[in-house]
Amino acid sequence: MAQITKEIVLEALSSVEDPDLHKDIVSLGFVQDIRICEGNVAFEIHLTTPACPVKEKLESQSRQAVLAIPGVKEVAVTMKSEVKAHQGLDISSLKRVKNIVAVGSGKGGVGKSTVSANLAVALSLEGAKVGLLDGDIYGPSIPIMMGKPGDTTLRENLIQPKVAHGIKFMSMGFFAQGDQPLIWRGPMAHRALEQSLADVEWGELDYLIVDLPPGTGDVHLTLVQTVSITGAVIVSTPQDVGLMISMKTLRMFQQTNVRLLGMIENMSYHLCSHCGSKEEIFGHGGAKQASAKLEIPFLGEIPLDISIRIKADEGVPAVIALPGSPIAQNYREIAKRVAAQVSIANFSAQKLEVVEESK
Amino acid sequence: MTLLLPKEIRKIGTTDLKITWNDLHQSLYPFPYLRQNCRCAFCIDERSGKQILIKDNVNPNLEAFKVTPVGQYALRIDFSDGHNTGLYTLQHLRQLCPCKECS
Ligand SMILES: Nc1ncnc2c1ncn2[C@@H]1O[C@H](COP(=O)(O)OP(=O)(O)OP(=O)(O)O)[C@@H](O)[C@H]1O
Ligand SMILES: [Mg+2]
Ligand SMILES: [Zn+2]
Ligand SMILES: [Zn+2]
Repeated sequence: MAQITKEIVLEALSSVEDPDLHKDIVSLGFVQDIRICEGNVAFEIHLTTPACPVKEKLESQSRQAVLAIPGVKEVAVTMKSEVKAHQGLDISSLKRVKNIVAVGSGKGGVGKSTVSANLAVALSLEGAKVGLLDGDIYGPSIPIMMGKPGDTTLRENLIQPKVAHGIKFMSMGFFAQGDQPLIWRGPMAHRALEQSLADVEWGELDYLIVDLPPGTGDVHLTLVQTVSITGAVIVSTPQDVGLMISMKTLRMFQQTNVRLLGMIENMSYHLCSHCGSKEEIFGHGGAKQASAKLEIPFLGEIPLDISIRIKADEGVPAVIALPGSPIAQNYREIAKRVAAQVSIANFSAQKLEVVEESK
Repeated sequence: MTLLLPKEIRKIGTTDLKITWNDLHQSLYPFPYLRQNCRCAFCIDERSGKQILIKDNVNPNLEAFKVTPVGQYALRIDFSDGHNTGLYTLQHLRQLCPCKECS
């Protein structure tokens, strides 16, 4: 029988394709640390996010591919992940923040903060390091949803983010309260955002989710001028009005060359608490159609469900308060799709650069 | 949705800016032309949209010292007359392409 070599194993594994990146896992560099001992083959697969939606699929396909090699008796696959960093986060406090993802909406009240909080916690449940920044200086709600309102502390001139439910978070609204540290006196949302990015000790993060205030404006512009963000997620409700206003927001992202990672429809349908059947309150599918038309990914639908609101009001996002529920499951699926889009964005991202040509 | 992105941005000496776009279109902008089309608040009235800068007064030999990216969507240009308040968004730059096909 032919000897099993690394080359043979790699050859077999090159038949396994990542459906999001449209490349085989060997040329993507995912396969690492192949060890062969007689009929036993062990290797690692390094994914670009712990929240990979096709983790199980890639694992079993890889196992099957290697098992099909004549002479292989046993296969041990270890799944690991390392989130790729988006380029251009030059501010020193953000050096170890790999990706900034903005969450925006056209109008207020569509559930953007609730979605942001649940997404952030869902990503951390998958094993990612996550931060959440409430970019709304006037109506901050993230601290309440995370169950920790109140002041922040300073250490060595850096503001310490709060920690709850596995993630770090911070609100620009902390600084709209009474006793403010000197560095926060800047009255403008602009300054507050700059400082939320630069003066907060975020540490190492795979994803920093920024909950933008509704509509188009200052905070968005400051964000794109201050840092290079990986992309934006748009939240909208099924009502047409909501969608029309979202279009404006979409255009704003386009004009500032922010990649649209996708759209989420919130309060999409109502799960009947008696029979579990779907009732459509506002009509549904509007966001899905719109995203198809605009050729941006559709990331999923979130039902209108009273428990989502109750848990938010109690300070524990539904995705962690109701583990195993269809609601939590749904949030986690959506979070994985977001993570997948971030990975895709980082494979195709480029930074603006000016080449100097002398004459 | 495909974003309009430059494949390459070149500052050619101190006289021109050259952009190759992702649709392979090439734009060559003399810096005096870009200075004339600055849309900053000193050059165009923010409220009325009226042109303040008199385009003909721009020195035809004006140069640029530096071109700096702003975020992922715009460029800032330091002109030799000291002006640098304009942000040239990629969208605006594409509209400004002076080639025969575009204008
Ligand atoms: N899927 C949902 N089901 C039921 N209630 C929801 C859902 N999503 C959000 N809510 C509730 O709707 C209200 C508005 O949500 P949220 O504060 O997240 O919206 P927002 O878009 O961030 O609003 P704002 O524009 O004020 O920032 C909250 O009371 C929240 O608990
Ligand atoms: Mg909000
Ligand atoms: Zn100007
Ligand atoms: Zn042209």
